[in-house]
Amino acid sequence: MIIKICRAYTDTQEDFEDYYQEVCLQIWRSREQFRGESKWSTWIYRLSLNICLTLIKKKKNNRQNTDSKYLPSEVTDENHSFADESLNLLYDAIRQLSEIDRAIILLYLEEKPYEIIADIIGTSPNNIAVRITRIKERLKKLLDGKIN
Amino acid sequence: MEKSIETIWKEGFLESDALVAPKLNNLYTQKSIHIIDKFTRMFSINLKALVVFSFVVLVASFFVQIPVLGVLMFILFNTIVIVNRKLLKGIKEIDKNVSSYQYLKAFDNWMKAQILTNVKMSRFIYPYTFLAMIAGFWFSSNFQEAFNEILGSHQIYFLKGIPVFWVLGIVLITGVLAYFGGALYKLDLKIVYGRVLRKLDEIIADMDELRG
Repeated sequence: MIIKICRAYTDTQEDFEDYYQEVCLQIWRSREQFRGESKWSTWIYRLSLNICLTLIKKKKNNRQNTDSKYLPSEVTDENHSFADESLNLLYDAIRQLSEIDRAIILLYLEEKPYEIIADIIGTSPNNIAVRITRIKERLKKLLDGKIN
Repeated sequence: MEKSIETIWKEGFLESDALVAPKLNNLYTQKSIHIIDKFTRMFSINLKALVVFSFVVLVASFFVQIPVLGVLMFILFNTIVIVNRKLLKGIKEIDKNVSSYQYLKAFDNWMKAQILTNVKMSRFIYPYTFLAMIAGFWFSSNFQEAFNEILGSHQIYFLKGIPVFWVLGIVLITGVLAYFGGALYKLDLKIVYGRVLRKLDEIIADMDELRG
C-alpha cells in the first residue's frame, strides 16, 4: 500500500524511491505511536498520506532540463512504472488531481469505507461521497478513449 | 467496452511486478528528507553552533578589548537559543498519527508561530547587534584612539554635550534595521522554504473547501 501511495505522489522513479524510503523511515520512527485505536492498515495509510502531503521537495529541474536536451524523449519517460498499461494511464490521470483528491481516490480504490476515508482525511463521510463522485467524473474525462 | 477505474486498479495490481518495493538503504541511519525532520535537525545543529559561537565571541572580545560587545552578543545569542529551544519542543510534539487535516493544520500552525516569533525577534536582533557594536566600540579605549586618529582635526558637533549628527545617524540606522528586520527574515524564509509553504497553503485551502 505504501508503494501505491508513493507512486501517486511522484512523477519519476527517483522521486518514488526517495518517497518510499522516507515513508518507511517515518513509519519505523513512529511505530510506538500506534495506539491500536484503528486497524494497523488504516494507521499506515494515515501516516503514509501525511508524510507524502508534506514531502514536497524541490526538483533538480536544472539538471533534468540539461540532460533532456541530449536524450531521446522515450528514455526520459519514467512515469510508466507498471507492466499493465491501463494502470499506468490511470496513475497518470490520478497524478493530475490535487493532493487531497489523490489521497481520497487511492483510499476509495483500496475499498476503504467512506467513514474510514473521512476519518483519515479529517472530514465527513458525506463530503467524501460527493468528492468521490466528482473525482471519478474527472478521471473518466482524463481517461476518455485511452482505455478499452 | 470501457473498463471502470475500479477494474483497472484491481487488474493492474494482479500483475506480479506491480508491487515490487524498491530496496531500502540503511533505513535506521538514513537522513530524512521530510520537512519536520529537516527543521528539527537544522534547528538542533544551529542552536548548538550558536552556543559555541557565543562563547567564542565572548572570549575573543576580551582579547581584542571590546568586552561590552562580547557580553551583549553573548546575551543575544543565548536568548535566541532559549527561544528556539521552545520552538523546537513544539515541532517535536506534532503527531503524525492524526487525520491529514489535523496533521497539516498542526504543522501549519507551528510554522506560523515560528515565523511570527522570528519576525518579531528579527526586528530587535538587527538593531540590537548594531547598537551592541556601537556600544562596544564606544567603550573601547583602543577604538577611541583609532577613531580620533581617523577624525584628525575634524571637530564633532556637540549640542549640550550630545554629538547630535552621530546620534541622529545611529537612530536612523537603528530604525531602518528595526523596520526591515522582519522583512529580511521573511525574504530568507521565502528563498529557502517558499515553495513548500505555498504548497502547504494550497493543500490546506483544498481541505477547508472539502470540509466546508
